[in-house]
Amino acid sequence: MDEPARAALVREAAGFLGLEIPDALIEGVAANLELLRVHAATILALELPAEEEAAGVFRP
Amino acid sequence: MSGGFEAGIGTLLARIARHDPVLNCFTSVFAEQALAAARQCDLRRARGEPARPLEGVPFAVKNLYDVAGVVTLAGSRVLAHAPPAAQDATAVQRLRAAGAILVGCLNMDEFAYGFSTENAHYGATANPHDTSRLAGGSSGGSAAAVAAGLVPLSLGSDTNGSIRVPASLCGIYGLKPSFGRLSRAGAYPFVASLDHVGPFARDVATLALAYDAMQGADPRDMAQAPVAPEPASPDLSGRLPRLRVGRLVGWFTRSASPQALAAVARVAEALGGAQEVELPGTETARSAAFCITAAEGGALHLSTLRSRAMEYDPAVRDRLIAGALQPAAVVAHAQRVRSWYRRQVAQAFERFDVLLAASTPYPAPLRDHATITVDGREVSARANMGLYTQPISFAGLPVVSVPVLGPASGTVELPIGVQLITRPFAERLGLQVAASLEQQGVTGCRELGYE
Repeated sequence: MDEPARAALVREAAGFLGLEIPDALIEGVAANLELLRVHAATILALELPAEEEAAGVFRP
Repeated sequence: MSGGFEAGIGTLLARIARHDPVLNCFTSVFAEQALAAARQCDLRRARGEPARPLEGVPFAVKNLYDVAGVVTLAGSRVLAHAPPAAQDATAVQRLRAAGAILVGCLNMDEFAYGFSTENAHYGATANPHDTSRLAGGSSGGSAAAVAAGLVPLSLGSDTNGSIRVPASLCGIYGLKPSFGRLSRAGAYPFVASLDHVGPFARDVATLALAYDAMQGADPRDMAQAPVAPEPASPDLSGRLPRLRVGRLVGWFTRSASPQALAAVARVAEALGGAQEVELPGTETARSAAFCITAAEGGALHLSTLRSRAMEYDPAVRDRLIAGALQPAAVVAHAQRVRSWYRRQVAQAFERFDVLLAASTPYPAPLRDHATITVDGREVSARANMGLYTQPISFAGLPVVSVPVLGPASGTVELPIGVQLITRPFAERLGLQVAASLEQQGVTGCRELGYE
């Protein structure tokens, strides 16, 4: 994805949250999103049975 | 003429004044209040009143704890003009009730988001072992102050490793209790479902006394577990029951330095040997903790980020914004991973009483080149020093991080810690093991000469 398209995508996602991201911040936010994307891929690669529930109010 | 406690606090305040300009541990010092509290301790003693468990022990707290009459900074300029706290955090209240004397508040990563205590607003905290190196974070001020002997006791908080990482790099003891054991009321939140509070000290007895003083139900923290207090101090004799000890491998050794591996081996040997054990899915668990942290942290700060984003530390701000932008499906799946991983960990504790892992993969890196090597890649220490702590707090387990001494001379060039991990709510066992290691001379804090 080229830089303008990436910036547009970040801004669109931020719009859901009522956040306006100035130009100066786009690069830093995009770099962190890229890191999170790698972690997300690791998480989603773990297939879990449908009955596996999300942790609620967490108890160890 | 001043009494013993007052004189002691006077000496300590002078030490802080001499060394803190270089170390940068403190963001505020309450000299007059501390001296007044010390005079009260002297009066109590003169009247023959029984000594409280922490009578006259000076302590300081990470500046995310509420202290009555003081603005809670949480390492940020964003909160600098907020009203002062109306009351002490529960942990502070309980330490004071046990006789401890609060002397100040301590530096941290902004909003606890980092492992380095390089704060864009309040400066970096230096490692007392080598001031050109990182103290670790996010409770870096708390760890460095204890390591330098500026206070014998401090409080930090740990979401992904923020007690254990600086304890390791600064060569002191740190306790991250089970999730839900100690009240977090009055401690500024970061990730509500992962936040813990806990103490740092130079010896296990002080660590345990502080932990005991902070135990007990508190209706102000809704996440607190309904468990009865289990005092650890009465039994730190060093005598241990027969223990089944496991040494975590796989994820926990993959990027470890020789120093980290040697430290774990030395602890394992002192405990009579350890069997290798791998926790399935640990890399996934770490990633899940990473994404949940970013999401919950981002959500918490969203309203402030809308209007005051430019007042944040840039590195923290960008992480929080990105965290808030994650797809909900990722976070939902991460929470399911959490349930699953918790079961993997529970199964391991059917076979073991104590699990060992290094607290950090490396000793303290240099501040002007704060990177570590993970899987052959050079990555930021600020974001990655918690590689081995993050999965453990994700499962909510209690951990004592112990500073391991070298085998022959009793010293090593730079300190490194080992995590003593026990099953949920078995803090007492972890502290008993720590006491045994301390008495064997395997762990301990070095005197660094900050007189």
